[in-house]
Amino acid sequence: MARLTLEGVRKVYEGGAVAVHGVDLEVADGELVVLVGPSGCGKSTTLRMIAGLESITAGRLLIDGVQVNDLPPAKRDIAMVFQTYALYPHMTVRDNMRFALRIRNMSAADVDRRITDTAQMLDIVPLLDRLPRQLSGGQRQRVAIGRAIVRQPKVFLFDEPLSNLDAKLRVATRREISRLQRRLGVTSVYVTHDQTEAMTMGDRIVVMNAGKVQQIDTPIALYERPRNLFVATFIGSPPMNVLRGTLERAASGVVFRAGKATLPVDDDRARKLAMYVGGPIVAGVRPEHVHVAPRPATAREVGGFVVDVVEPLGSETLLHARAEGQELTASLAPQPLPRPGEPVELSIDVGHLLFFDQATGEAVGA
Amino acid sequence: MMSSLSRRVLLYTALIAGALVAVFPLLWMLSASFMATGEASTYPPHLIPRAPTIAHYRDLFTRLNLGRALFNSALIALVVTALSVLINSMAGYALAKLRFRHRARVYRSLGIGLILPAQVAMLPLFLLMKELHLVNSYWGVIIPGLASIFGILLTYQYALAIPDDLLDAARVDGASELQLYRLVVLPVIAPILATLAIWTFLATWNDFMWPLIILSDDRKYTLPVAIANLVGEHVQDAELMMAGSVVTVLPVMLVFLFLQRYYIRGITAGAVK
Repeated sequence: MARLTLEGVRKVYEGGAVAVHGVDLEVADGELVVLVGPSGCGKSTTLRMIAGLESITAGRLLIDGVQVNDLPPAKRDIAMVFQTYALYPHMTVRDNMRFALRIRNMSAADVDRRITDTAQMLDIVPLLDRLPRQLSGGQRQRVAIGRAIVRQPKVFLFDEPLSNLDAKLRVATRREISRLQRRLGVTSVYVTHDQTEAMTMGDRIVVMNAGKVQQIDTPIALYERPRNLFVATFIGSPPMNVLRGTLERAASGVVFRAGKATLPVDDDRARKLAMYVGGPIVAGVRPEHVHVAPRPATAREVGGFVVDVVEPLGSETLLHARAEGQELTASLAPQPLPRPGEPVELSIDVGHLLFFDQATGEAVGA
Repeated sequence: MMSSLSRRVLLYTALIAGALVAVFPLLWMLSASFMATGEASTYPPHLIPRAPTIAHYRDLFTRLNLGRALFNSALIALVVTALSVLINSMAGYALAKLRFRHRARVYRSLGIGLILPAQVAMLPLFLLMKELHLVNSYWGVIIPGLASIFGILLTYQYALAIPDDLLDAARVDGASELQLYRLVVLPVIAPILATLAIWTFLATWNDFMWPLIILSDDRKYTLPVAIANLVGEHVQDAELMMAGSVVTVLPVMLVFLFLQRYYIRGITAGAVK
């Protein structure tokens, strides 16, 4: 049980390349925080700095209020699960789990009891005397998790632990890690590039890009109130639609105009966006707020779209359409739809439009 | 188009012929060592001793005191093998997996050192040993063999394939760098260490030049040096020479026969991965 604090934690490599620009983060006791972002965004580097596998250039890292910047990994009382499992290939599952405890000079009886408990919890008792190479990918990952759990560390670190598993196993293991983490109540930091994993597992999510934290929030808050265009388009699958257009004053009030679409902006929002009226702006709308005819009362039509691709997924159908330089994806209930190449009448729930500054990508008008 | 059978016959004929050419001198050596003095140089030559005798072997170990040389060779080869495998593997692993200043420079200078013939270093090495008062001592033979560029680069190449995650996992698990090396790295690179051990043992056992230079007391001679010394005194006695050669070659042949599996595996390691 522990509280993990990062204060302006920064990583600059020899030669001056900045990998992490300064992360401020407080992970509460028992919380699972997910670091998510595209490859090269600094999430793994941040995790490795927490682990002590990478030195911290500037800032402070505290566990339970004690600065651990300069402690070696061995002294931080953290356990880590790696993407490649990183099981010791010459040791049986039992010895893999025993390794860290043996180094800590724990008594044989305690070690055995812990291994048995953990193996039962993870359902790997029959595997205890096998070598890693005799296990499937999924079993190896369970063992790797077991090796972390058996230590009863203050903090768990997960470095893309599901990336090497097939899709079905990934979903099952994802759920299991969530369940275990809640049950054990161990403070955890989980790194992934997969936003679905982040959304489903994290109590809170840290979205990173190009070495900078973009936003730290709960999954739903990130989804509904992204702070910038990067978060808006990174979180959510399929991603948020982005329309580039202008904000103009019409007879009826302020409107957003993009291509043939003219969407009204309510007065309250128009006031907040006053400085953008008469200039370019970016609007975002989630695919579930894009509709086909008949349109709901809250939606306004956007004309001129032609079906590009239709992807039936069973429970929903994704319709991708384009119109002179704009693209829209709609997430729809299964229904008969126009075929690719045919025109489609789309409408957008104007109440769910989000606006972003064209130059900075920051959310505006909210 | 040749049938696959005739192609196989041809292949095996060539292989057997090659094997015979390679083995014949060894068989001749073995056979001649059991012949009476002078018998090996009679004309026409014959392969099988007329009246096999172990007189030469008895001579070697009694009158000529070759047992002492055998002991010296075994002692030096074993000590060099044990220590150099340890030192080379540590250096190779460190070079491959640990981050330290001037690592690339060290690697490059090893590469350059590999090109230099060993003979070039012998004179400076001898002078160094003289300064250290190690001339005519076992340590004078052993110390220069403790680190070899070949051994370092061999383990380096093999250690490169160790996943970084594996080392990081051990560090997070609480292992010190020494524990990491002992408990994780050594077992993982064991196959290449077997190769290195065999190679080092054979090279040290067979080494002639350096022991000849550094040792002056015949009670410290290694086998190749002792045998070469016999040539001077017993140049006519071919059968005695052959017996000495058998004593020299036999141990390394046995080592190789029992461990060739590891030797070959080590040489081909990485080739098919």
